[in-house]
Amino acid sequence: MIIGKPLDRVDGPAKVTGAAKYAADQHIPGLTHAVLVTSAIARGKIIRIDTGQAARSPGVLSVITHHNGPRFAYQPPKHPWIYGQTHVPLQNDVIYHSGQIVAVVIADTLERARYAATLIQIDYAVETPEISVEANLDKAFIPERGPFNLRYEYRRGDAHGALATAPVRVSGRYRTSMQHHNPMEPTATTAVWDGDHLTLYETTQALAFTRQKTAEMLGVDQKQVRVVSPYLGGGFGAKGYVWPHTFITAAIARSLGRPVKLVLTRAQSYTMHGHRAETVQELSVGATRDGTITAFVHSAVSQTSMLNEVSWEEMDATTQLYACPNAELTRRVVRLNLGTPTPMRAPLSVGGYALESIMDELSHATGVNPLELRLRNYSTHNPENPSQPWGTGKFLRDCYELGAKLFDWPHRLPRPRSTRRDGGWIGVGMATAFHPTYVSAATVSIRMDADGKALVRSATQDIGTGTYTIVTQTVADALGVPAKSVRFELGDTNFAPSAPSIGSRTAASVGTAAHHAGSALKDKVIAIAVADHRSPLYGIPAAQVTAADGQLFHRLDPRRRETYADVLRRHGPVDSEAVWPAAPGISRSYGAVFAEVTVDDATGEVRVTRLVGAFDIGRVLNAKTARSQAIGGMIWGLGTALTEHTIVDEHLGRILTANLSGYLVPVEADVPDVDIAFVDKADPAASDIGAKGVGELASNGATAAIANAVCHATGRRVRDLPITPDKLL
Amino acid sequence: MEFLRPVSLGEALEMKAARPEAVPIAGGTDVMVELNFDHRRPAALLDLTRVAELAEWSRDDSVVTFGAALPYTRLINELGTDLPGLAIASRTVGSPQIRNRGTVGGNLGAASPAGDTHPVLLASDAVVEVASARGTRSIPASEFYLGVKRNALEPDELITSIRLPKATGPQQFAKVGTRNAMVIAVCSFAISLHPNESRAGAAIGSAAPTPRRVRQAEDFLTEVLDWESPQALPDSAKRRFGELVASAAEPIDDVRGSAAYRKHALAVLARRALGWAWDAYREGERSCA
Ligand SMILES: Cc1cc2nc3c(=O)[nH]c(=O)nc-3n(C[C@H](O)[C@H](O)[C@H](O)COP(=O)(O)OP(=O)(O)OC[C@H]3O[C@@H](n4cnc5c(N)ncnc54)[C@H](O)[C@@H]3O)c2cc1C
Repeated sequence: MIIGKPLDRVDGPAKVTGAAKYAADQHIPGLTHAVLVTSAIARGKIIRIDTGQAARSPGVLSVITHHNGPRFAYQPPKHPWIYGQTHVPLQNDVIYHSGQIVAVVIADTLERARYAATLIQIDYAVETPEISVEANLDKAFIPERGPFNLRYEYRRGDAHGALATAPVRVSGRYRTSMQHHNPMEPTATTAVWDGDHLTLYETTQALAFTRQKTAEMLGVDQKQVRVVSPYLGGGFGAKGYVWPHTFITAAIARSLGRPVKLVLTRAQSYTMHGHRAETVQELSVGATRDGTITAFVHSAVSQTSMLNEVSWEEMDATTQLYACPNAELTRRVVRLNLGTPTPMRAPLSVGGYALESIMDELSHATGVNPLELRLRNYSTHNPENPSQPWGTGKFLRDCYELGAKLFDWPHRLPRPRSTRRDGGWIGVGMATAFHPTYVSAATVSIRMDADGKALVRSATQDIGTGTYTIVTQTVADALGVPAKSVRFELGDTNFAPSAPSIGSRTAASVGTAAHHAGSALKDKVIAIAVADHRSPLYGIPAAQVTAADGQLFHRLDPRRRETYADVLRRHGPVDSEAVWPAAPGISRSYGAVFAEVTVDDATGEVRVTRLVGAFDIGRVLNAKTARSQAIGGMIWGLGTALTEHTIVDEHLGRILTANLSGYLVPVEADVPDVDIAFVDKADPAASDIGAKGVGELASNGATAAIANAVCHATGRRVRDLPITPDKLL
Repeated sequence: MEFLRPVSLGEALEMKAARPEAVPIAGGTDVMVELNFDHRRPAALLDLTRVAELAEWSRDDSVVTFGAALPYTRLINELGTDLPGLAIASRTVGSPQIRNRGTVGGNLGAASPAGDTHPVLLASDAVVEVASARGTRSIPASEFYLGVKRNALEPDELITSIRLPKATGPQQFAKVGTRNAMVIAVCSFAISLHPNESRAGAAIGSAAPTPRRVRQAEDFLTEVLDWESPQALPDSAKRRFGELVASAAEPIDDVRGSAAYRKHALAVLARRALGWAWDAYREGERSCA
């Protein structure tokens, strides 16, 4: 068995030697370069745009504004579905947010395009932008659910009644900030037309989305569009949906008759493909004196844009994690002159932060140890549907146990603000991690050649998480061959259509399809061998033949054997293909996260000194890549808790932190050693290979665990993220 | 854009005299950021990395002189014992890559109020040696910073070296940042004890339009510190010192921190740094005695 082993990334050598070609690395003859000019105001109109000087600048091929901008065959709907946003720039003079595309310069070199872009003069009629959630709370409204069926309202039992009569009631108002994805690889599009066929080299987490939506906008058939994206330097949601810069670049390339490349600058990545919405959440919990929860009332407001009404910050942890008969959840949005939000890292994590904070507050109020409190309210059945047991879909108890042991979680928690070390207050905190994970149709095809080597293909993505590696392992096991006999190619719509890399679904979906394709291929080869009188396996019932290490052999008489290559040399190549799942599915992943912090209460600086996460992600497919994802996710949770915050100028509506020195992602020196444990029990209900999602799950839990630890250290509950030093004084 | 590459100081000064608008580039860790962001589009760059004299250092019994283009990493490794305060500050600059390239000359050239070496240079009575084809000047650090990102250099001048006394007593530098590395200081503080003169130098960074010395706080120390038979400092004295340091600040609110937080944090840094430095001094005196 290779599955589960910490196999090194099979794509590692290509990445570290530079052989891996990312979207912006393609050398295309005759390539031209696009540079975006973006709006300097957040609300108003363009009254004059002078492109004369830019157009005359050396090397410039075209300058595009709303006057001569590409017109599209289609308009993204009000609920943009897998379009990132409804608004298509360059169609008229209206400005909805700062950083909106207002012109595009195309030149023969990047430098000349950049220079010419600075020569464009724009006059605006400026209006005062709305940029504050707090100032607009009275205008908050419940949006329509839209095609994603996002849930904005939920009720069971009588939550308000139960809260009013609960012996213990705790309420909190929590704020989380606007955040940006910041993958290392900048977003890039290269559009190359050959007649009426388009090839797009694209940074995308979803080849199929890009293909479908680009074709739709351009008024061509999907078959005329090929999307190529073999490597991705992270995406975290920013590259999940289809944003205007992609189809605008393709449309310009078509009218120009030249290939066009666009690479967003870091600053542009703060306004071109969404962000995590700021939220203000009011959450109340009612309980008996022993901590048995009787009611949750959760009401949240998050930002959305002027043309879209959407909030991705689902808060289902409140209604699905703990056993509790009465619950109410309401989510509303306010429109601001900022871009349209999009899923980031783990959409449920901001609601999960509030829930796991109020659990900590309840623990303080009842005197029940935070861990014990969570066990007391453990749900064995879906609280939204009590006839549905969680079954193999939930091994959260194991997470609590593993994590508590690794961390040495105290049975009796010292009083808040009672422990000092090296001049700082020490505190510990914990939280449950919870996130839905999905599966959707993936197709995997395999061809085995006469050399016994398997070429596996699927139009899916490896966003840096390890898809190349885990699929290689899965197929190797299904076939009974060593991993080096398997080569996996992905990232090209010429391959069989497959799952998008959003919603933590790739491993379970593509992995299972790969497993089935591998098993089917093995069965075919066995059938050929046992029917071939030249084979040592001739005449053996197929069910008695199996494979290991590239050899097919009789289970009862292993001396009767031959290699895959022996069979295929006689017979020729064999193909197989499998699709899984037949219908989309949802399951849930769980975890328990424990943190220790030191707080300097004179300066307010917080240092995380220990971080432990124990996760139930079903079956672990690769111990190393899963661990890396878990660590990465927890570091994000740390960033959300302590450092990350997109700051917007309150008058101009401009993002003030549009770079990595202003937007503070945690650095190595902020991160302690992170200990990870996995339950590693298969969940056959999630996928046939027993795997479910890990990526989003792992960035839940750490934020609340750290915030709870800060409260334990200092005795002060900061309910406003990130917990920067000034908030602790 | 022209890229001028002198190989000697004389040649560099001639080039600068002929092209005063040429922008010197040492490590480039500030200049390249400005070029990338198109904040600046100079007609010429004057590359200092081939001018050997600018990356050398020398010392005698009492004074260390090091070239403006000596990278932080070398400064830390080669001069850390003689210039402990500057070494502490240098270790907090950026990341290893930035410290391999970045220089004190560049920090001075940029003259950002948040530059990490400035408070140390001020507290340690550093002198900035500058030169032009016309001759040389010595500018005390306390006269070098004129405004936000403005310094006392004439257009044809280059910084050649930094001269400062070898430490005769403990030195400390402390900064508050919003994360643990790769961070621009929210505020910073440096103190250098000068027992031979029975006084201390102290300065703040990122808390006013320029880095500045905190003279009132220094005077206070002259009054309260007993250098002959050093006693433990009462908390009240440390606290008063912190207040005086904070009162010298004129901070602003920005994305990194509020003015109120900066004042508060400066008082804390000053109190602590004084405590560490003074305890180290008493420790040293006791072991000598
Ligand atoms: C990622 C990153 C992190 C950083 N972190 C920090 C930090 O933590 N603390 C900090 O203080 N700074 C930091 N900086 C800023 C920068 O590294 C420092 O200011 C450094 O000291 C600049 O030195 P340099 O040699 O690279 O200067 P350069 O970029 O070469 O030059 C800077 C300026 O000085 C001028 N100049 C250089 N040498 C001379 C000379 N001999 N004579 C006259 N003028 C000269 C240049 O013309 C320019 O105006 C950081 C920068 C980056 C990119």
